[in-house]
Amino acid sequence: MSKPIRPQQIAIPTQIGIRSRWIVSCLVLIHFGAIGLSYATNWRRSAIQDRVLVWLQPYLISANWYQEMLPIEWISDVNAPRALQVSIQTNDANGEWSSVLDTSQNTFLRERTERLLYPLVDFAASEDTQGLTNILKSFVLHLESKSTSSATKITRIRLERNAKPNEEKGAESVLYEASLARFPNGEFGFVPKIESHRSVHALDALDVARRAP
Amino acid sequence: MMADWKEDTNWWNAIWFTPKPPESLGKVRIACGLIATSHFLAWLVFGSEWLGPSGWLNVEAGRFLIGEGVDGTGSIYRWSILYWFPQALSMVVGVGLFASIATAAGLGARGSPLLAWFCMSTVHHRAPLLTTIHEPILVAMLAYLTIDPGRLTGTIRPGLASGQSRISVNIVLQLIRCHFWIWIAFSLSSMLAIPIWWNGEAGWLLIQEKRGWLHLTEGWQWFAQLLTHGVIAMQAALLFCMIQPSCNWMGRWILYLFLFSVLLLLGDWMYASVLFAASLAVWPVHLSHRNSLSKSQNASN
Repeated sequence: MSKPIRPQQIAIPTQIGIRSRWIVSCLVLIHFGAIGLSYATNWRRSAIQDRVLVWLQPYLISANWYQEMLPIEWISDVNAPRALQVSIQTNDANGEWSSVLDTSQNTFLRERTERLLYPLVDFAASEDTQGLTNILKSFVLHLESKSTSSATKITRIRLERNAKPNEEKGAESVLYEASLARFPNGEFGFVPKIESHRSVHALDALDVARRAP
Repeated sequence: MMADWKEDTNWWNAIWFTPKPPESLGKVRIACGLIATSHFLAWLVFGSEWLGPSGWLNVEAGRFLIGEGVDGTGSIYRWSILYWFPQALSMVVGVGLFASIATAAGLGARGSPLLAWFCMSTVHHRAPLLTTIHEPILVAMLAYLTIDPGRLTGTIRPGLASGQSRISVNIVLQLIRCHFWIWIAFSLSSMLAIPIWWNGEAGWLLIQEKRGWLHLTEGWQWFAQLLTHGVIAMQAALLFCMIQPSCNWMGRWILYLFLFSVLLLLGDWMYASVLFAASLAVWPVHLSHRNSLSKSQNASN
């Protein structure tokens, strides 16, 4: 029968010097101070907080402690556009829209899809066409690379907000819609759908066309 | 005054610099390794579709989202090799998976959590926007385990020599505890900043979106409100129990209720698992009589 191990065989106390304790203690305080500061940026940030964060960025970002847009909230707001969808029209779809990304589908990718689409809502709301086109361009390239037929091309793309379960039908809205303008060199740009109360998009589209080779 | 100062430093030293046996970290390491394994398995399935050379978020879009070229965004510190070699994603995820399995199996000393942390951070730096709720805690735990990975509890057996108690083991445990406390504190405060967590609407909205396991009809709205208030109260109680030794025993049961609420409302078992793994540093679980030794060790420390 084997002998049981007595606690004193295991708990051999080890000590570290006072200077080492001070160093470790200071590092611990700085570490959690920095993390707390980084997490707190998800509320509101002051100018001084911003400056300290920029100063701490080499440590916080490199070591992956920096969490801006921390996904800590379970649900952000009653008005949050949680049900989002990206739809496309192709040249062989007879004008029908088909959904390619949908946050209402209860898959294990739902949370990541939401995190991918939420910034698009902000870009659309602030009319940041550069932000929208950068992301949507990536979507289009991805979808066309997956397409089995090289002749199938996306002609239009839109970002929609669907009705949430507690809302009546009709709460849906199109947040952004654009046609794809293809250039001879294979590049493409987005020509946003012109709305009666907006002229900025039209000017952007003209700008794109002007810069095209 | 001098006596008060000395008492304070004694208290601080007792918390941070009391040696603990490496087995104290065993279950944290196993849990962390297993969760990281399932995390990398998921990335193995959908990773290329999202971050591959022609994924949903290609390199150009990724660089735009981290604010490349914009002052103050810190994009120069995003060191992911996937910006230059997007096709290396599968390899990074594969290595991460291997390292996570090794972490869970207690192999590779601090090298395996370090490698798992490196692979996870590589993906995070490539697309910080896609980070989900469980990942900030998981990656932090892997980072702390690189200081001292501990030893799996299963290695304590009669007749076998166990590891010496180490201060570094205790430091890792305390780091995970503090991080867990900060996380719960921020989770609670971010909820309290939103009116729907005060009027009880949050739980009902989550249930309507069919995120979690709970599906209720209109007549059960009161239960959703109760659950909403419960989530707030449980987080506040957890924070209190973690810092008040006399209530520590209660914290474990509140934690289980809280994790169950996470599953009911969010259905996010990865998040519940990560919270459970982090909580093992606060409330260790003793599964069998074989581990009674480490239990008595923890109690005495």
